[in-house]
Amino acid sequence: MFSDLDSYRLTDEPFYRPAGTEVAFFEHAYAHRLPVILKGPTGCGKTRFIEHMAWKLGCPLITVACNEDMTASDLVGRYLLEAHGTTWHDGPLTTAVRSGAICYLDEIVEARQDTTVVIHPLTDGRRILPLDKRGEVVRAHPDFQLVVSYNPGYQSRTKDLKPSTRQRFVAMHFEYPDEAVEAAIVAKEASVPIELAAQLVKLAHRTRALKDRGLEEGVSTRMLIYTATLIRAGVEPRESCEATMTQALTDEPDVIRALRGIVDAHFA
Amino acid sequence: MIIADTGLTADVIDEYRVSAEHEAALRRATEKLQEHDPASASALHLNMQRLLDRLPADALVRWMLTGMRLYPNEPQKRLHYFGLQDESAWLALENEARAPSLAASIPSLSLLIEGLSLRRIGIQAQPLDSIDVTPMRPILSSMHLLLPSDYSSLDSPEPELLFRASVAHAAAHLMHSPAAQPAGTLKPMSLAVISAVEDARVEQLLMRDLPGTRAWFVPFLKTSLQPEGLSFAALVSRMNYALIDPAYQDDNYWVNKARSLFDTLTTSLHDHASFREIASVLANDLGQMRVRFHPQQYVVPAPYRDDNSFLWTYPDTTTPQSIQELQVESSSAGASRSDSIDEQVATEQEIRRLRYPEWDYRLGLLRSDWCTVIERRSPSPSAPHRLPAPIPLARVKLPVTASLTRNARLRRQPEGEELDLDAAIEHAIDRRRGHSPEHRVFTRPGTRQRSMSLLLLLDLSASTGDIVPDAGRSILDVEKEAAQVLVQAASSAGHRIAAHGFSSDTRECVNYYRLLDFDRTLDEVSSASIRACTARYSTRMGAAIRHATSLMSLETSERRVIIVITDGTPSDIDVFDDAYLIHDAHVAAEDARRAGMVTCGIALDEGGAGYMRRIVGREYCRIVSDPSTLPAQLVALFVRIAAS
Repeated sequence: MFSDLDSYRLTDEPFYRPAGTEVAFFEHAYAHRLPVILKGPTGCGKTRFIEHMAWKLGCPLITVACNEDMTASDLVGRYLLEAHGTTWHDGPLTTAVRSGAICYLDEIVEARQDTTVVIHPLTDGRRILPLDKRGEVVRAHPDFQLVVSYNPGYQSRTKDLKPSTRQRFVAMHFEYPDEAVEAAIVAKEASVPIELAAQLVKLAHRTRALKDRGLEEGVSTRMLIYTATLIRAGVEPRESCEATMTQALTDEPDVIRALRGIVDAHFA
Repeated sequence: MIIADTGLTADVIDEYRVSAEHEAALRRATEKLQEHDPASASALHLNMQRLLDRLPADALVRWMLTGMRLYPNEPQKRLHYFGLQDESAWLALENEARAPSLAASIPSLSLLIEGLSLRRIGIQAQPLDSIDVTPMRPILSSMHLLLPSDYSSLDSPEPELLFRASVAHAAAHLMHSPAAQPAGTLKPMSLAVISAVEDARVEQLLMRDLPGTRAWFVPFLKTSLQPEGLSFAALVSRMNYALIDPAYQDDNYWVNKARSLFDTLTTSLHDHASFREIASVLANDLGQMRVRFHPQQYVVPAPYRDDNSFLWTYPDTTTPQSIQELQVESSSAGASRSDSIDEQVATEQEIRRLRYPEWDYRLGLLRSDWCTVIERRSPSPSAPHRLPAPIPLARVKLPVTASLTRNARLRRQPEGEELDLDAAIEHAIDRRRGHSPEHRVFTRPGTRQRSMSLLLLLDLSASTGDIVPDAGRSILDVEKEAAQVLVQAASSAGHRIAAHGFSSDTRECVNYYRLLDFDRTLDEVSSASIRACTARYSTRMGAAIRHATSLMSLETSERRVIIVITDGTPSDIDVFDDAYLIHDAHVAAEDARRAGMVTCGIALDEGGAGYMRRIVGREYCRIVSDPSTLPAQLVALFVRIAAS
């Protein structure tokens, strides 16, 4: 099922513009195969960062988007019935452990806590993955590394990492990049002039000021790229912002009116 | 009595439900008109009923101001206006009827100014205290922006555009102006010119960042332009417009000088001192031109620009009042209320007192230990015969709210995470015997109901004693019934539920009753204590939500939900600003959300009850215009929470 690891290798360099020392830091963490948590608001570049690092380090990257219905079997694998009996199929985590890939569990808090417990033996000195159903202990390939991401923004009582899980990781905090860097990213990703990108970034900063004052999150870098892409395609800037920012961020009429005002102020 | 004089009888006021404040403003306006122009006042008197049919009191005041400002020196035309024989009277009437109120725009304007200036600024409406031909202008301080309540259709056919421009201009000052410069010995005219140049400078800076704001300002500078005028205000209006619109041609030497001086500095807009120098030169020129300046009559020509009191401090004299005394203590206000209620409360045993903070949106500050919540023993049904008879309650069944569990396994499933060994063996046997095998050979986890704790928070304020038309019962009775229905339904569905009530008598005394606690079943005693609640005092919702939150934090269920049931906007006798307690309750609900709880609100209100949407957010708000449907609405809300 997961035998062909080549499809998990990134052939082209994913664009990533470092905002600080995170690339060097991750290389150190990888050199010692330390498990890493990437924390940060939505759309700030966590997934892009890990793709870039996997490409840079030449490792296959196996990504699992976690969700509430995900079970431990979905990660480690299960027996399936075939014509001549049952066969074991490795799950994505087991594949990564055996073959030495980076396994990236995106939005780990979305998975239930009992599911995330299976990663514990992999994240300490043992680096093993016991497959109890199969009676096998998989020793991690020397190149295997576990990386998880989560967004501390919307924690709730039922959605939080257990201390016993989070203490096993080196945590790297991501934020939206500085204005200049963010503008360069938007300009490059959406192929728009830097002036337009800079204007959109200023707009995003203003919406981020409204976080917790009616907005759960401000406009993310990813949203800005969407906005800029639509503008490049010929959509009128205000209309593009209305669709990719104002309406995407909130349903509250007061907040919508305020966001429209902020958007309107940014375009001559 | 003025009311009687103007034909605005108490009945009319009642009938049209003008709020006390607007009523007072209307009374002052009619009084002013009576003094100023008795003929117009009697014309107005004849049309009062007709006007009130179409306009609320505050809009009517603005309509009157429009007439007084349109024809300040033309009594005949003014008479026609108030007699509704003037076309502009009808136009203004239509505009005012359409105009959204400033109060409704404040929440979005607060967000807008914060987004533009990246500062937290409270926005308030200036009360219509001075019914005057001279229009009001916004007042800015480092914490607040007070917007005029007298913006009328004369200023802008769409008031929201005007509000927006005011907010943007204030944001420009906040970001780029040095505040509270000593006025020293500067003459009033110099102050006015320097202020006008400063207005233009900060707007240029703002427009450099936010080019869209140019289109917000230009229309108002254009309409306030007096192209031929040579008075001080006219010249300033010409300069204002010349500085923002390069295409504008003016033939006045002074205006052109201002423009060319300003243009020399456009590359160094942050150089405040140089702009002040050119402004002093311009003021000096005006002095030499013998232009007269009347500080008492002068208002900044553009209606969106603030009065510039933000820029100056004055030696010895008091600065223009910019921040009003916001919180009024009232220890004696309660004295007039009936003693019987106080006696009744006094007999209720006090269990404990807790202090909670309160959010003051005007200061942007959480006042610590501001409210005292007094938990009291529920009103004891000492005289059960006096209680209303128990109403036969509707039976309601709540939907199942399920999530996966490992404790229940479903066998023989077509899909699943593990093989069901028994089924797999049968499958193999069938296949070897040549039978068609059963393919359902997996197991997967079953579902389980998510545990939920619900806290019903009932508003027990005096207004809930009002009788529901056609039902013969009070709103409070309906609340009680709905509470009992939901308690029964939730506890039989396996949820934990409590019913608490609150009423407040100033911030020093927010009474809180734990009518039915978690872990208690709805029996005779608790049902009687719910029914024994009486309606009294006011609704300080924020403090009650905070106390409910702290009680709720002891609950260990996966979902914890506070449901506030109220019949009107939060209010208390020591608070005079309608928005104050709404903002506070909103902050309390947000804090509960951060603590992992959901706060929902049900407003039993025939009006729009927009306040509830603001407090808990649209998603968790229900507005019940027909109180008899409350039990059904509660269940619907429950389903929504369970599904989210």
